[in-house]
Amino acid sequence: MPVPDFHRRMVDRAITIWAGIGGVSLVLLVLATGVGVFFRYVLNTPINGLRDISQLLLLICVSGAIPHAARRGAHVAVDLLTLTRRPATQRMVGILVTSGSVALLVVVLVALARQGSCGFHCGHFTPDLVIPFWPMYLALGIGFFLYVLQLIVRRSADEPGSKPVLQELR
Amino acid sequence: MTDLQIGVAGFVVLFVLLFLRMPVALAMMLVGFVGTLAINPVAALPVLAGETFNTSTLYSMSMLPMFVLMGNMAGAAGLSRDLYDAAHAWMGRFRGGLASATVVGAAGFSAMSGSSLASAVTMGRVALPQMKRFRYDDGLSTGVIAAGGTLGILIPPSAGFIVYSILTEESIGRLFMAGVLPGLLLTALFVVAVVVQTTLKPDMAPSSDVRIPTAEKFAALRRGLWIIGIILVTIGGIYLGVFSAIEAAGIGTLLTCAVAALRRSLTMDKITKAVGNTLQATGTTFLILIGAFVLTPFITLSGIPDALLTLIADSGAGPYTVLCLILLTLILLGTFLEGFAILVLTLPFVQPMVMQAGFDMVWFGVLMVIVLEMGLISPPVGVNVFVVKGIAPDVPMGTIFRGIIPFWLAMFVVLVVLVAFPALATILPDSMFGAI
Repeated sequence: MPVPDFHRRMVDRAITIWAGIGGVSLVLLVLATGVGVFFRYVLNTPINGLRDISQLLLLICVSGAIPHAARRGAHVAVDLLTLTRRPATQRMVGILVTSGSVALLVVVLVALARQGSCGFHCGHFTPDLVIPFWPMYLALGIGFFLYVLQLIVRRSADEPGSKPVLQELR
Repeated sequence: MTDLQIGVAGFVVLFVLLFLRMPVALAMMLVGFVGTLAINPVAALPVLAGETFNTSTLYSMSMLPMFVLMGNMAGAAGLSRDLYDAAHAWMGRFRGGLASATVVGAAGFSAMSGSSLASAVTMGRVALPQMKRFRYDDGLSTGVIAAGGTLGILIPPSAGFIVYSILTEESIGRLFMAGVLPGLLLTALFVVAVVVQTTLKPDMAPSSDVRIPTAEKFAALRRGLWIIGIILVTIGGIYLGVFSAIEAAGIGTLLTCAVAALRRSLTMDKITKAVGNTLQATGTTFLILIGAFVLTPFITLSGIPDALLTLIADSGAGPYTVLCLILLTLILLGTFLEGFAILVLTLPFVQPMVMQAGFDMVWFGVLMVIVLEMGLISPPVGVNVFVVKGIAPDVPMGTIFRGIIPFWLAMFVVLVVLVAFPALATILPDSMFGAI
């Protein structure tokens, strides 16, 4: 069933905002690395906990990057047999593959939620600054959740009679 | 079912999913999760969550987005054009000079960017209009761009080496240094391939009558010195042990941004585009790595690597027979699988075999990356070819693939030379870190 246009735009906007946050994290990661080098080699005073911060920034960057790459259709897939399949078969296979992908990602979200909620009892915090991991699990979960939404939107855009908004949104 | 049978069934399902066009990363995650569930149900969910989280916070992987950003920023700021212009000024007058300049420019840009796609796109946009202007053969001009772009994953910093080092736990510094000489050799052989083609068929590259004054040549070289300086600081810093590879990535990116800001060649729009492209490459690579790390425990639990080792030992095959078989398999896989997919799918099996055969994993890493490069331009799924097709939509795919053949052969020659003379890859890392 086609997803309403309004919802597609909402998903696209959410992915754009999350990718923007990921992009800012990437820039901060570069700055943090540069600052670390400056303090270590120029001032001879290594900053404690910078690695924890870098890991946090990397995770946010990755979380923003995964749905962003999905929206651009960049996740690697083998394009060999699709060249020879009929449209009806392609549609059926597409529905099957999207369903499997969504089911898997839902399991990933459940697994992240379970592991992330364990908290300090399981030693889930960074080694230097003792930052708890649960906000990082949450951030990663948001990225995967947006990926799920993107898969659904993309699938629905390929349905017959659906408005091809994806190209316009890219 | 035995664990081994589950493992084999898992791989059959994996290949079915791949051919149904499920994203490679998700197919690996699905098979890894369900397979682990079948063999060790208690471990399945923690493995899925743990590997997903650990990969996304892998500190050593932070260099990948930074190096890709560095390349994208250099491209956006026009630094890559300066490199091409410098090569063009000095080589453009000779027959096939524009194509040779493209190779040299791509090699220089590769030393700033870990991505072959970024190299192909950037060089393609700069070099293709020039080659069209001088009526170069379509096959030669598109082939040289697609092939030149592949240098991006061999010449450090290389995304291929970063992923390889994460999967095999080899030193990234050693791998980067191991890629330098083979990268230069391949660059030289690409130029030789251009010269041979244009000598045999002069019509492929009409010679340019435009003579560039010496002062202009040196001016072009001076403009290119910025990018050469950044490369020397980052790669030289790693070689001399001043920086770790992660620190070099951060410093290189900051220097690139500083140079671009000094030249006032960056706009907000260009920065946004460069960051967006970097995020795209980051998302793709990290998701594939997550898939690989979820799949690996399943492979280990199933006992397939042990069974393969036993099979090889029982067959009595010598180390070089095993190596040739592995490389041939990888080349074949390269014709229909994407490079990173091959890397993450095959390494869990290949690594124990290569180690058992007594080969240096750093040297093998260089061989593997060259094979991945060959895959990037092999039909029917040569990713770089599709990139070039995007830049030159009027050139038929057949023409591009025909133009690639001499460069593919040059890669094969480098592969053979490296097998015959492993020191070509190991001499630099050994001189830096000491022999293992």
